[in-house]
Amino acid sequence: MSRLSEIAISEELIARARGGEAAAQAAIYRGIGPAVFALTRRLVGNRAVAEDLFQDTMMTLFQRLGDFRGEAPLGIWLRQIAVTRCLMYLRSPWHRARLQWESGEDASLHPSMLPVTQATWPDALDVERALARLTPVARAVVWLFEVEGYSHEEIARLFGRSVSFSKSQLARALARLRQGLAPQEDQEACTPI
Amino acid sequence: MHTDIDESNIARRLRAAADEPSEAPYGWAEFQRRRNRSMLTRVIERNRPAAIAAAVVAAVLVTMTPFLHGGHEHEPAIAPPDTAGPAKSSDLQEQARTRAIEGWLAALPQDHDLVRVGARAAVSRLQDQIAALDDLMSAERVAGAQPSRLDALERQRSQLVSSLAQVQYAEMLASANP
Repeated sequence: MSRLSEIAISEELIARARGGEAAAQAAIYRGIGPAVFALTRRLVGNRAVAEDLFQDTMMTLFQRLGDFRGEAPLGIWLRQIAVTRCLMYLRSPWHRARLQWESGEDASLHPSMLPVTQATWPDALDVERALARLTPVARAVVWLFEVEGYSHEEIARLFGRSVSFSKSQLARALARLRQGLAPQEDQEACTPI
Repeated sequence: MHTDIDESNIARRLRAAADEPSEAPYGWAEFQRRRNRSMLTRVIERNRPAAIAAAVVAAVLVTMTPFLHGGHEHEPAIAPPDTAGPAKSSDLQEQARTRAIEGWLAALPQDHDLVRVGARAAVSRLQDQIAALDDLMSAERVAGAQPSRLDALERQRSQLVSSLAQVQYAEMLASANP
């Protein structure tokens, strides 16, 4: 299971980690770290940047664990921290400059982008490739909306933009994904039974 | 035949991709190592203004010391003489400053109440480097080295002495305010 929102961490473990017990913190890290990194890589693409954001997110988790009230699962709480960190990066002047610098080439297909997961089923690699062809902002929007279940209003707030920005980014992302995934569908449709 | 893919189909495939197994980029030990390094960096950043302020105070004291003590070069001072590195002055002035710093270092108490291993190691390393440089300079003089070569070595020695004074001064402050 790789989605943060579905990972359950026991209250007892959280309490021990909050008390500074290293073994409990290590257990939480092992339980929740992979999902945090997967989400971070989905949102920012580049592995090196994702590692930095992952480190930052996990450090924030242990620093702020005392503030966690348990009203929502720990994964949801942490997801918010990770998403905020990633979107701050995507909105940063540094990232925009990097995109401009790399605009001459197909930066989205850089080897550091693929694959985010281990792609254990046949269709997975096609999905990974199609996602990698999206712009980082479009990828973040489609992922937050379709997979993480964010609403357009929430996405707009996170990006500091309007709802129509979120909707147009989603429409554009879906159109590109449709293109990227279509050949696979065509092959399936033409396969004799 | 072209089959159009609807949004629900894409969403389903994206969610399936999300459920693929993934791994953290590194283990708990590496995470802790990076966390400690990051925290150390933050502490240094946080204390940087205090270090700059101490350096400014030291520079002011160095400037004022000759007036306060009648110009006695080797009298122990509160702060080391100007350790900001070789300024754009003549070599003679630079050598005089280096001697003043060495006088200040010699007057320092040898035993601090509080000894920090890192600082002590840095002091030892710098002292070794200065000693090695002294040996080299002696050998170069005997071999009749070019004056420019000796000047370069002298400047290098001045920098090492300045560094040593900075470390010793920081250690002295730390010892006075544990």
